[in-house]
Amino acid sequence: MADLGYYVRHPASSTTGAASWFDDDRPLGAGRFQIIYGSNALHLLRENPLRTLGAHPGSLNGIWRTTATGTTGATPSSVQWGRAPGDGVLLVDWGVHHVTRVGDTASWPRLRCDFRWAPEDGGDTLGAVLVVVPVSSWAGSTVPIVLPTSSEYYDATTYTGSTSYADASLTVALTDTLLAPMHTAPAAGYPPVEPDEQGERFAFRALLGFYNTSDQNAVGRRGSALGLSLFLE
Amino acid sequence: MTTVPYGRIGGAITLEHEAPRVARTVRGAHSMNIADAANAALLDGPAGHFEAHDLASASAATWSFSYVRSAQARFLELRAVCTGTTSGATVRVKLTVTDGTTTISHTDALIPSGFRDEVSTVVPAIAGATVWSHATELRGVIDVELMAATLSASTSWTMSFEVTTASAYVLSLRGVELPRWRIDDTATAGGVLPGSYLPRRAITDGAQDGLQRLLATIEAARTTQRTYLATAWPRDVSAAIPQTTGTSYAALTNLAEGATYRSWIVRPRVIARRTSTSEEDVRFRVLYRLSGGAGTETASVQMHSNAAASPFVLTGLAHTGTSWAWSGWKDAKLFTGSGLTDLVDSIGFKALVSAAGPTLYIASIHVRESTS
Repeated sequence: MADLGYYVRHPASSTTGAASWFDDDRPLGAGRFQIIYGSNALHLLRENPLRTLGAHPGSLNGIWRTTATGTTGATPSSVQWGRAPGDGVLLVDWGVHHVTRVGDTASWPRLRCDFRWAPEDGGDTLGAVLVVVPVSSWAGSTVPIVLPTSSEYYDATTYTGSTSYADASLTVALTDTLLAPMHTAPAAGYPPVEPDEQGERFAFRALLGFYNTSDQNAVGRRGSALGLSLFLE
Repeated sequence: MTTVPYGRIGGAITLEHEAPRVARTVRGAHSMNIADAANAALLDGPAGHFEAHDLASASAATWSFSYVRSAQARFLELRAVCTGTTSGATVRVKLTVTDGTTTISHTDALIPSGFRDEVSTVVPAIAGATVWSHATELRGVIDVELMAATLSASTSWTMSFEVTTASAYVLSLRGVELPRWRIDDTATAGGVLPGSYLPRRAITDGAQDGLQRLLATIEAARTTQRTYLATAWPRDVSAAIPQTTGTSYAALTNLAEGATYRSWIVRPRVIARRTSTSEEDVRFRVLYRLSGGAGTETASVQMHSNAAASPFVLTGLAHTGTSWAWSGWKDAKLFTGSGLTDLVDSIGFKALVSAAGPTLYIASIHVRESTS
């Protein structure tokens, strides 16, 4: 199969007559077929699963709680996941998303979360944890009371020693363990209409939490995380 | 018309890399394999979505999202995850959808339960549990294909959620297009029947069962536009939403990072062959209000990326008084140069008003791919 690694432009499928590359009784070259059909389909099969999933404006000086004390070693237990918005934490439910394997391989895409952040006091440590929860129920709405602590379910990072904004990136390699088949029967409207199509999708739910070792709500001891985005790569 | 169930169910697509050869005729299952790949690229991949976080308003406030339906998308799944701060907390969500000409109200049969202004009682998180563990989830599905029959004046829709909370938060409000589980060989972006390309069948140029349909499916997968940013703030000028009174371009208040603008990292979809200068097409629009001043002022909004022509400027946004209005769509670019070791770009915004006096407020931003 031809594999050029980009999409080759071609006359629109609706084109007819002399300008058409694929019209009645026109010779069909195998090379043209491979490039336009095979390579293009393969390229889209690689690119289309890698989509943006969400964005969040972030929190300016709203991060100050933690259960952690060190400058490294962030884990899910470092974050106070039970707090309400505005109570010293930034917690993000990125929602339920389906994924498909990339290209003609058996590989799942990688989940990535980027943002910029800074503590008000360079002596404090900011921490961030991205956790992936497999979704197995049809509703997909259940978040565990206690989040997974095995390292394959999360990525974490810390930032300390400066008050300047810095880039941060968290990634979790999606695997069969982190995904689960989720039956979906989309009954739309009200009253719900029995769907004439339904099926399975492999889905996960992603959660993001921040902490700040200052652990005090005082001007000069808080932290910020801004411009949060979640995407597949 | 023929419809058949479709389901990839997490499986890998098989494409034979060695069997087809230049100067040899297409044979065997090559076309069927490509049909499978085209269906997967199209039907698994609607990419429309929008979201906002931590919504709360004791008196009704409205979050409005820009939404453009992907051609193959039929179902838009809505989820509002709600929690209380005390017992007896309640949440109400009222959804209306408009194309700018026709409006579908929350009482319409297209609007699902949970988004019809019902009062939902929500409970607080339990000590020691995550804030989401005992949250109430309002979940519903819109048949956007059916909705498009009514909202036909424009493909650019506004989904407005009026939210009223009492001792409660909507932790997240999200709309996500679902993949498809059915092939329809007559729908514009309905996929292609692999069985039309069985070995030993004649090669035809059929709009439903020939190579034209196969190519149309690949095209539809190409023109399924990614959403890179679709978020909203309350349409409430007393809230901490992005705004500016400045007469030179600067970051918006509440959308700044220190003295510069706040930016989001996105991974652009690559269509064209990557060179050192390659870029991909996007477009953006904002929901804004320009009020105060003499009433004759205008405003402009810049979108910044790493593309060569950045910033891309929406100019001449008219004074709106106390109303909110969508800007037109502005074409822009994202950088995808081959020199990038990390294939991402960033998106950020600056704005100005033409003369001192009025305030520009932004309540929604939508950045969407614009691949032709």
